Amino acid sequence: MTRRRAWSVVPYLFIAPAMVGFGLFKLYPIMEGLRLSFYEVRPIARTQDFIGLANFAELVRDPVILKATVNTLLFNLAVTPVQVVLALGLAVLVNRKGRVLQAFRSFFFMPAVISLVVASIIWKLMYAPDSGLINGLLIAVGLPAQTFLTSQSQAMASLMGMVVWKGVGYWMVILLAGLKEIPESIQEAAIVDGAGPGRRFFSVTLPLLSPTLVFVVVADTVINFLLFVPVYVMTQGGPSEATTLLMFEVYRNAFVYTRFGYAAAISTALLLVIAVAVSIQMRFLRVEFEY
Amino acid sequence: MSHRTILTIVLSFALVSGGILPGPSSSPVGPGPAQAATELQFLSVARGEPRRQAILAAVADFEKANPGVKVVLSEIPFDQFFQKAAIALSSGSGIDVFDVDSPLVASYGHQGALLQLDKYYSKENAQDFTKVERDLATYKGKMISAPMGSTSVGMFVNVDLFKAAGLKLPGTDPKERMTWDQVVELAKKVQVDKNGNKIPDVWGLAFQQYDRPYMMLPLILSNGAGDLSPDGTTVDGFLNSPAAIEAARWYGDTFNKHKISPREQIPNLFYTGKLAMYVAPSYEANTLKSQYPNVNWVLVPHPYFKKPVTETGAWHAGVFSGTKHPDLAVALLKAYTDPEPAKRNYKIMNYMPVRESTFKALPETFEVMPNKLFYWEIVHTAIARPRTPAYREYEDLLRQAFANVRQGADAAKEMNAAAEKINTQLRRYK
Repeated sequence: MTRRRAWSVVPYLFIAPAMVGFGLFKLYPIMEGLRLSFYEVRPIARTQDFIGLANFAELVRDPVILKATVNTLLFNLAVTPVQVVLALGLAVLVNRKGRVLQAFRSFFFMPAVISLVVASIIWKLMYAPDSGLINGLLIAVGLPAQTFLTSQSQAMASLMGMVVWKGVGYWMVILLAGLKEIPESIQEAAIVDGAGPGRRFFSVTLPLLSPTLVFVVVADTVINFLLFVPVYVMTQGGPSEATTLLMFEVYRNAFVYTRFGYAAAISTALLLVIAVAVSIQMRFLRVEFEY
Repeated sequence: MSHRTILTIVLSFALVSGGILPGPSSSPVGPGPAQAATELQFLSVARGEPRRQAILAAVADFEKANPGVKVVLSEIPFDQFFQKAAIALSSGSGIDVFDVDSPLVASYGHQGALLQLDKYYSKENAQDFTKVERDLATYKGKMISAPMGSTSVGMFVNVDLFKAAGLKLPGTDPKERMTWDQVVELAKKVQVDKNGNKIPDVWGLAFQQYDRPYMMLPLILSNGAGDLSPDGTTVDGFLNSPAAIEAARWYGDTFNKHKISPREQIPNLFYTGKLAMYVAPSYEANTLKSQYPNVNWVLVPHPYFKKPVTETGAWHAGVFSGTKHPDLAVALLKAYTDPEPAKRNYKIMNYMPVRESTFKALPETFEVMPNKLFYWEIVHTAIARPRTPAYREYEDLLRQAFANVRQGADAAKEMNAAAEKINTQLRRYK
């Protein structure tokens, strides 16, 4: 083996530990999950019976899974755009010089550093209809108390509100990093050409931010599809399945009903839903600008 | 499909997989394995230091009687216990003895996870367990678990709030047991809303466990409904019977019509003197005595609709059917649950006893209030939760129905929906 060929192996040696870890802890569970979705698993009896597509046949007839699928799609259609637009707005706002704006950067980012479990508990307490902070404030200013998480009509919107609050700061920081990458000389050239703030935003900033924006949209979508903690802590999918999401049904079937095969089938279905959603996003948000 | 899309799919599924996998189980906390020739694994629920001390006392007795055998105790928090116990048992991690929530005995029995114990227990020893606990420990006519600790339920009444409202305290004798309708009327009178904002400063009534069948089933059964067909195959005509729906509606009305209970549970309401009547398990008496001595309370009998019914049951322990050391594992189980350890367990943990001999050995405790009343209820009005392999599903689905009713949903619709879903789950066990 020549010295040059020997050196060409070195990069692979460097990434080998990561790939071994990825294979063991990610790829293997994926394959095992796919395999389990074709089985009826009785964990304590330690038996696995091959049942073909029976889990998937049950899946498409299960009204709870149908409801969870609709909820998951609606949740993503509402939360992801709101989070991205708000995060972009805040990123542009704090991407200016000034001590006050720098303080706002930390302020907006604060929800991102709070544990999701802790945040969910706090919001559940704030939403409590009879003793919560929000209703206390509403009553204090003469407005009627709301039902929030306890009513079918308000529960999903209340959950979305909390999730938007929790995520916006995080995505703002990512977008802010993208904004900082845009060379000032391009903005200055646009000013010299007579472009106003609006024109500069839509014709310069947004196109040049698009690689970061695509990452934020895709990553936010995947995270929102996999949302579990707020549902588990705040609503347990209720009332009357108004807030149940596919990820929560994976948990419920795996660990409450010990139906690992069925839960694996839901995971597989969720994977397909995410793949389709992300493919659509990739197609429509193709990055065409470089700098 | 591009490489990027494929990578996204792979990463997404990796996240899904990673998100649902359980974390590592709790580390051993008992005596270490050392150079022991034989090692037994005891998987226990973490329920505070007294329980841990009771187990360690049993382990010490066992190890003294069986030199060369060591016990490794692993504890798992309550809210993760069922999931992690299932994983531990299924993974062949060598569990020998484990705690069993008494309503799940049938579930473990159905899965063949528990060793039959009849040959290890004399008739006298087995008959010493109270009847309801004996029934809970039996699956298909075989004893498969050993009761360890139990509960009863009563209504704790705040004496000072009743005095402040100028109301006579309810009687403590079972003959003076109130109906639920009487409780509603009293709750309305004792409730206080100082500033008139429709959010009471003192609430009338609350259950210690919202929506959970442990506290909801007595409502249904007390109103004359059943909880499961005798052959265990259906809840149709039981959970969705007119009597069950009426009981569920009453529960919803306490929140939404009478407004005597907070719709979302408020922690420590009774402990802080902001709740007049508190329907709670027997262990709350210990909590109140030890941690909230300033609360002036009295225990009164669990209210009823048509006939008195109270809930009971808590913890059993069992031997894993896959153990390599069945005789030793049973010896460890008996060191924890036999008549003499049972008395010690009560003194350490204060759980309601499961053996007649324990009740009789401690007259100074069980012939005075509040334990006198709890004991009376266990003997005369206690029922066990339905013994079905599908209890986990049954509990979760019924709990959801009651939660929906509490949040204002129609009781008939919810109970019918719950019955249909539970029947679907029951069919899986045929």
